Amino acid sequence: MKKLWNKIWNTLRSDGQLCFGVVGILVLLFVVVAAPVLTSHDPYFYGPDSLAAPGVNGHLLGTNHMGQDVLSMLLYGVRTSLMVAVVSSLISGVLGVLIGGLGGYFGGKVDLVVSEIINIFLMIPTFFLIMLIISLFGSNIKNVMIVIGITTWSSNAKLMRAQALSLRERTFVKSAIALGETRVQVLFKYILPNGIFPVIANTTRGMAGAILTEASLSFLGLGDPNIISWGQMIYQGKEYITSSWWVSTFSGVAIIITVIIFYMLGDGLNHVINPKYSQGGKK
Amino acid sequence: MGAILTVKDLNVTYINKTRRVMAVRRASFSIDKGDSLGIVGESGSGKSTLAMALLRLHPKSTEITGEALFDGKDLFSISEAEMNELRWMKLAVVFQKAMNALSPVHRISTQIEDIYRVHCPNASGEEIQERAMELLKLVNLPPRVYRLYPHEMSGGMLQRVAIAISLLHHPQLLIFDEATTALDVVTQGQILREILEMEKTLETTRIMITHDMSVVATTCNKVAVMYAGELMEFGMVKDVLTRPRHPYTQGLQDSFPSLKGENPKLLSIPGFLPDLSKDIPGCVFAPRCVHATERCRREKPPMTKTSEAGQAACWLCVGDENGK
Amino acid sequence: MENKTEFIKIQDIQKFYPYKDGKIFHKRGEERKFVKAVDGVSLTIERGEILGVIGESGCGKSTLGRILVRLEAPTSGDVFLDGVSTERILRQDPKQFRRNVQIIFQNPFDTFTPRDTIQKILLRPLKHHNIGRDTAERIEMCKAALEAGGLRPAEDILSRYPHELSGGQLQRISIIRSMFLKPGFIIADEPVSMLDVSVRAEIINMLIDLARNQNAAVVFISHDIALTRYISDRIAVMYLGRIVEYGTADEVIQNPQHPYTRALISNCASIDPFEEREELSIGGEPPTPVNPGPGCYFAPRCYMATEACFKSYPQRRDLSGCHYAVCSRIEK
Repeated sequence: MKKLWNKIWNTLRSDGQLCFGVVGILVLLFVVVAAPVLTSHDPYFYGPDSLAAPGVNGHLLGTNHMGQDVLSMLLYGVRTSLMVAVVSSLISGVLGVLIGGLGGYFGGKVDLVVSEIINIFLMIPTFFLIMLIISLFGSNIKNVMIVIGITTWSSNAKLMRAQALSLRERTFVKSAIALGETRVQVLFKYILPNGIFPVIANTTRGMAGAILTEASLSFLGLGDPNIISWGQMIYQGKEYITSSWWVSTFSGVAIIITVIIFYMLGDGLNHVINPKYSQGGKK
Repeated sequence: MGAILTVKDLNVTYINKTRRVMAVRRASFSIDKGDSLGIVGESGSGKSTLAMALLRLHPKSTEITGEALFDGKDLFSISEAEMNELRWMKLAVVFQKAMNALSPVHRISTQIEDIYRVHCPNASGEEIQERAMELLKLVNLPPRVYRLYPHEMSGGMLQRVAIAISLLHHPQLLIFDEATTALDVVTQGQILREILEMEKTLETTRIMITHDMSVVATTCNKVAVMYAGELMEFGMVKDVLTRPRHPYTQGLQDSFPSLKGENPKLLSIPGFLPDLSKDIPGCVFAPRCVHATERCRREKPPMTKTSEAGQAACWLCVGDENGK
Repeated sequence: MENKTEFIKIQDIQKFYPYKDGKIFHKRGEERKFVKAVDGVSLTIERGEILGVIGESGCGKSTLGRILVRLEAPTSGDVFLDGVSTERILRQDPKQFRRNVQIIFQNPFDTFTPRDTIQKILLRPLKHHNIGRDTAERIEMCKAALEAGGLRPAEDILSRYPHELSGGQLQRISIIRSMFLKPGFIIADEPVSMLDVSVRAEIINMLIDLARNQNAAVVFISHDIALTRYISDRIAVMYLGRIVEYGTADEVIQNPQHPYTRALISNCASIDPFEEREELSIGGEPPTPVNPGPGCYFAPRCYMATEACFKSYPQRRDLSGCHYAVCSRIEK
């Protein structure tokens, strides 16, 4: 156990971006859990001070036009953002890994069909598709997460497919077949576990993208109005941007910081994963 | 017939964030002009590390101590600029996989011109082509190879091109680092014969790094046997390979099956390499040696003379200086 | 010669791969090109026999190995195990085939998945083939097998990951793993070429033990002729997908009749610095087997080829005992 902890510690120290990303995520997780404690106000409470400037009446970052405390909304908004990030990435990841893995491993006609499907999804302008679906099916947060998931799996699939194609030539895969394991067993025990690493790094970028997508949807008025999200805040605040700049600005900054954290995490993971990821063993 | 290269107490240590690996320890030997030295060893023996060290091709983080006197200069104390001048002009290397040493997107002619001009920037295209044709003939390649791309040639042809390139500036010392290992038996045999033929006209001294003793037996006059970074035995091929004095050399020999005549039982050397990141008391080979004594495990044996030109690092040879 | 011990019968195996020359359409009548990796190989192997297969790169020996263990299906031809066609065995009970035929790969460093411990790796085939009653018993089997194979302490080895072990250890584990299934037919595809010279004997001796004591038929594929001579009872020499010479190991090595075999053997150096050799040179490089022929495949590089050699493929010439060579220039 200690060996594992040492290994993790050394890996973290070796890459600045990874360190930054991990620390950032930990901070965000802390906020998710501790938001009620950290905020002085209930973010859903429509208070008397409408559009109060930062610092007025105990509102550190001001209020919006409904009197909601901006700081509290920011802190609660972390939950929304992380939830969107995780759920949509999970959907996108699972779909991508399975479809890409199937295509890459089985090859032949299966791969032909799978590749074409992946290409179609890559070509579709995802954001417009998302907007279309949301307009048709309603803009609650559940729909948003699912839709983002089922429209962004193709990059994961492409990565996984490439991994599967190269992994199936590895000796240990041939060895497993020679020992009698079925193709499905080989796919799930050898191909997917060994090939998933680039997908993991890609997924963290996907998380950043999901947050941005949700924010964009909200900004266009297509987001879930019942949930506190940073995108909603920017949307609500854009009418007053010249006079009461704090509503949109702080939420915008929050989005930027969070996206950077996820990007750093993804890049850091890539740095750490890639040197280990080499074919075969020693000379 | 003086010494062209004298290595004294060479230590090469790879340093990374977590460990220091002493890949070559206290290596000392000397080669005369015109010699062909075979450095034999298995994985972890340090033979390739040694070759790279002589050309100072290791990254800056690698610690090198000791001395390598070549052409009157100590290769490890001269500046990088001076070393650059020596590289390829006086010292050249042919690596194992020539296809990896050549750029796949340039013709051979372009690459040779580039390499030539590193040292002679003002050479004209014709000059270079003339020299290249000379060398291609020397390595038994047709002139049309000059205009080809690497992927249009086979492994054997590429290796020959690599050899030709190494000879561009008439180097005095040529190092072959497992240069024929990746080739088929017949191609390997042909190239080795060509190297021997070549040497009749050129005046190069050669170092052959290999794990294959038969290569040394057929093409070298001296041999150095390395194990875990240290030199175990050194001497004339005719002596060492017919009567090895070091148990490791003997063990290596017993691991080679013979093609003709008797079929003695193939032996292996039990055990495995020691951890090169730690200091090893006593003889490096002692844990795997059938003749090891308490003394072997405690004290490092000195390099002892076993014959006129031979030495071995073994306690069994001490007190036996007359080669009995 | 009626062989009641004829255990493995390889009959006319062919494996062709379509030659990708970039054309989508072929002119009518233009011959489709194929890479004829294996072009009609027939052999018989008895129980307890070690057959060596030698040849340079491109000769098809590795492809043949993969076909024998059915990592690939042959284009035509079949292999009979104890009289039963492998096609049939695969159709009726593929697991049974896998238990009977095993392969040892060339690269021990890549033979095991890097993500699992040796224990997990060894337990898998045991579970899959229902060997042993429960996990505890299977672990004991693994420990016993490792100890018997010289890998001690067994518990320590079981807890390690593949990248923590040496090539020799990994290859021994690979053989041990295959042995759990008690195969009757083992293909060893260059099993020691990636190992240090001083540890090769252990693996070689394990394979010899498999043949002598477990009565398995072993096919030893290698480019190392001296090593093949050491381990094999019989040797088949392949060139461009076909067998050009076959016989007992001593016959083929001491008295080679096919010019290719002669050239191969003459180019093998020994470690004796005083050995006198007459090396036969063969021109050119080992070619790729794309539509070779119509004459003898070796004719373009042969030092004694005549015009007739280029016209028609030579007949098989039977020499003493089981020794034969496929060359029209051999004097009987």
